[in-house]
Amino acid sequence: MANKEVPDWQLERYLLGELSANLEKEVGNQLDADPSLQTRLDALKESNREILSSYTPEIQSRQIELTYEQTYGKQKRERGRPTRPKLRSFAYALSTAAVILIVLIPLRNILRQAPSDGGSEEIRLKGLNPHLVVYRKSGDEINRLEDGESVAPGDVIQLSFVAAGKSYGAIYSIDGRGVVTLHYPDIAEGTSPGLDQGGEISLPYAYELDDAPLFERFFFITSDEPFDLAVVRDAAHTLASQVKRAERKRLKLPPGFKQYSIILRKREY
Amino acid sequence: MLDTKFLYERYGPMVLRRCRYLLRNEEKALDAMQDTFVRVIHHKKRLNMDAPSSLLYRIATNVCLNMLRSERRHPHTHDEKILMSIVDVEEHESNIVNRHLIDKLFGRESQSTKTMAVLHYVDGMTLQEVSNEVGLSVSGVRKRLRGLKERAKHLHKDFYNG
Repeated sequence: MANKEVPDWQLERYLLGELSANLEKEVGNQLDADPSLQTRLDALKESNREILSSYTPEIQSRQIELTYEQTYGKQKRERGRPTRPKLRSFAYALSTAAVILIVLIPLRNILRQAPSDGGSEEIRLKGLNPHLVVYRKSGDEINRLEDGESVAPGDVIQLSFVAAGKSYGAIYSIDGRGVVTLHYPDIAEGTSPGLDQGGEISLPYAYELDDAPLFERFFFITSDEPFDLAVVRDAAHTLASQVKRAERKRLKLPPGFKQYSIILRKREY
Repeated sequence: MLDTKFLYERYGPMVLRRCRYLLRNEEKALDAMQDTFVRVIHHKKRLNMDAPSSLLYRIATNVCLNMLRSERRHPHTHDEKILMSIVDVEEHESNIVNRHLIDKLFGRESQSTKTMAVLHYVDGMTLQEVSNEVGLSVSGVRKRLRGLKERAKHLHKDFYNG
């Protein structure tokens, strides 16, 4: 540690007292040994004073709360308006699904998924379970992939989820190397986010398959209650530690969770 | 309920310095700093606030990357070249998946891989440290960064040496 330069982010956290105990001790020792590091720390303290006097907490906190209200307050108020919930969510789901179908899915897939019994959309939605929908972009065409379909390294995959009434969820994947990847939410720590109920919701980014062999299996974990993401992450790592099991077994989760998985088989490369 | 004043008083200077470093523009840095706190307030229920500095640092990075994306600044320093290369990846990455289509339909985007790239290539965090920051395994971080690098054919050569 004596010859290693302490990066700015570590020094910031040292000043805030938010480094791990080991790292805090290391930085502390280096501060004793290196006057230039002490100078950097003093400069940070001076910068804190300068910033808080130029941009005072009173004005800045008010500005932040005002921006929050302008950005999100309107949305919250609109969500709080009394509506006819079933009709509204059904209409929203239908309109979203229509956009997805028209733009994304080739005609043959639309025909394949169209109800053959003439039953109403509402009845089908009520019976829906939370699930993932996986698309592959190939050239200018985007195809929906079914469970067990073959994919290759370099294929670009777009994931969507349908919450089907479940309020909270997370999406992980395990590949044939036993690597666990979080796909949703974006931030790995804390509590699971609320799931958008607007029909089929696509994740904000596509995913390019790497050269991991055998398979890529996606898990959509949902619950009626908020849950600690670490619970699901740990279960995914446990399952991923045995690749053979990861190919077909479920995540071991406490009661209250619902899980859906879809596996894509890797072609040889 | 988060105490915005307390949060700003304790973390505002760190967040503003981060935004200043990435954006090199006081007015934009101030906007980005405020936006960072707005996002924290909005997502407060699902955020682990045990050690907010790490979280705020990452969110600030994400906010700044979003701003840089629309700005196309000419890089002057070594770190800026790498930073703008990471920003450029998004354009390339998004083109692959038909950016117009995805953006129009889903109206959201993730900077998580690019945020990880900034933490690793610009801030000098090790893969283990990035892993600790974002809550992914080291191999998961490596995988995401590798994917980003592979798509970034036009990046500065130093990016590849990271």
